[in-house]
Amino acid sequence: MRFVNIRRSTTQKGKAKKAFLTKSNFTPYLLLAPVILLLVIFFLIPGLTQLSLSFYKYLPPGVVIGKLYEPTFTLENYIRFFSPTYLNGYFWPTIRIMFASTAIALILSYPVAYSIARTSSSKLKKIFMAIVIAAILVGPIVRVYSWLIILGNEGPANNVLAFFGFGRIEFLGSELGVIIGTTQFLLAYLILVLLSSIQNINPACEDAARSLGANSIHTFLRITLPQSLPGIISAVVLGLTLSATMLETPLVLGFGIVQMQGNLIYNYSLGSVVNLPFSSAASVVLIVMALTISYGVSYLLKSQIKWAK
Amino acid sequence: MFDLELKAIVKQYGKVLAVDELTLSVNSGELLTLLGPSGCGKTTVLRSIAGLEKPDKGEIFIKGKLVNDTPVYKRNIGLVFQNYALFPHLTVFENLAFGLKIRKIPTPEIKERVKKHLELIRLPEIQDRYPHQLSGGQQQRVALIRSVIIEPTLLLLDEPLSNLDLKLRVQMRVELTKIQKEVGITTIFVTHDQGEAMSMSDRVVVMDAGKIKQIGAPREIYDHPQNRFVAEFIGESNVFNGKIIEKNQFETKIKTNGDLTLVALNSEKKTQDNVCVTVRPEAVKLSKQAPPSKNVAQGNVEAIENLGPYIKYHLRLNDDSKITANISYSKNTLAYKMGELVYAYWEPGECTLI
Repeated sequence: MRFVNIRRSTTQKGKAKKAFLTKSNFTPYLLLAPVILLLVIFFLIPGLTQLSLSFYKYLPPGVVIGKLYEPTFTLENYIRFFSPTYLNGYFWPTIRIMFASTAIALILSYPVAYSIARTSSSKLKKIFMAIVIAAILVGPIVRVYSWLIILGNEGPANNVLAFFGFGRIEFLGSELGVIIGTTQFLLAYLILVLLSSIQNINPACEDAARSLGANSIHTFLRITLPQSLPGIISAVVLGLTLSATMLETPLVLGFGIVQMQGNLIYNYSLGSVVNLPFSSAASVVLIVMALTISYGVSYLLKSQIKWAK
Repeated sequence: MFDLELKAIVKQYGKVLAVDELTLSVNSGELLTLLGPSGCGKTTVLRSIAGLEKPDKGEIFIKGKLVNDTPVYKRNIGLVFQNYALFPHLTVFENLAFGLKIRKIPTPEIKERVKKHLELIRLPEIQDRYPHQLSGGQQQRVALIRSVIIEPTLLLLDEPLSNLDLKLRVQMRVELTKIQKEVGITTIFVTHDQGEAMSMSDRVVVMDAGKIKQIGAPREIYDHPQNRFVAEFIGESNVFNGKIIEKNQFETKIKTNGDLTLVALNSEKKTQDNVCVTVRPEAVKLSKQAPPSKNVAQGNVEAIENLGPYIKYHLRLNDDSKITANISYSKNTLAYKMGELVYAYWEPGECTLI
């Protein structure tokens, strides 16, 4: 009987939902107007401008005085971007750095988030949270220049490696250095996202698993980790999108040898050669790439969750 | 040999002594309840038996084997939690199979056992559902068989019924006891609800501030509370402080600190001893005329509570003390009015001396 009752109640809920959607009530949308207006002015219009700019023809300085581009439709900016020079110089490094730093940051931040979530003392928890948030508040310039010192050829990182008998590594000007800097930038954000998800896991589930005979590793892999999958998805999406748009980290730690797409956009819009159509095309590619990758990854991971309410 | 023995268990959290030198033995197949107010240490005792807490001092024996240093997952104990702790990401089948897979039980046998246990709780069709698709009562029963299916040495239940609504809770008391007896598993049940303790247990352990106040069969604890805490915590009691003024082989006469002279049956207390006389409200009768009873107190009706099957009258006695009487109700019962002067009386056998 109870089985039948549950079915009935869900269909009733379904009906209620439909009724709500068909109801023509504009007041809620009216309340959203200020936000929509703000988004249109500061997001939609600039975005569309950039999109159209990416199809314009570039005019080198001096061809037409006071004009940097010609408003005609051309694909030359995109064709130029997808040439080996730019793909290998900017596009692929960006993707490699995105995935590597997100993966490393995820692995490093999970245990931290887990221990904070399971800290019973609320005072200690607040202190940990403050430290994590402080890491976010550090200015980007301070952050990358600190890494410049740490990762330098005579810096602490290399001194430690040398002390333990490993050779010195050239972090600066290598993808490894940029990945380290990006990973550290992501850590605090990922910890916060994972923390809220792990906090939602009932600790009694872990006790129950252990009482049923699962050791700590088994409990983690079969009970805790699967339940934190929604948090992991958010963390991965956040990590990928944040790392896709890195600018100052590759700028300082990459030494101009390792560059990401952000640097390309920066170089062609604020650098020595101003080519706005080309940098716009690079921006459009970056946005599409970041959105596609994060959506794809989250879609793949979400297909693993069959149990969410 | 006992299935479980606790010897002088001590557990301290900071400055709070949660469990204080607790010693307890549990017989095979018994349903033993740890009953006490919140913070009395009953859950700590349960978690120590399970291995989720480590006692500071004392020894825990399961089937005669010292388990102090055995980790949770090797103790083979079934645990049911207040919030059920079903794994939300696994189906009912996977939840039930979890412990069996770890024990390397072959798949056909797992399927067989899951089927058998779902029939035990009369929910044979739910194995492919996720916990959130079940009602509270169904989740509760699945959690119960999840811990029973591994054939544990002990079954520990931590307030398993307190999240259910009243009617279901009362139903589940019966069902839980039935399953426990059918499986024949030694069970320790933690609750703060004395109704649950009284109706389900073979023996009840009443706890307060980390100590055992009394152990006994439910009826024994109710009829013969050994101290004031038990008398007041289990059921309700009218309590009178006084002194024994006279005693013979049949009766004991007590002068209360108020103005009453009460008569109880013979007890081990001596003349001049200070005692506490307790009387259950349901043993107190009321009358408008002076009754021919040895225990009589006169007072005014101060408050009336209609509680369905009975009416609770609060009387203010002449010496300014209070007494309550539960008068069972039927449509022909004589009702008393507010402020009315009535006699409360009871038989000497209803008095318990503490």
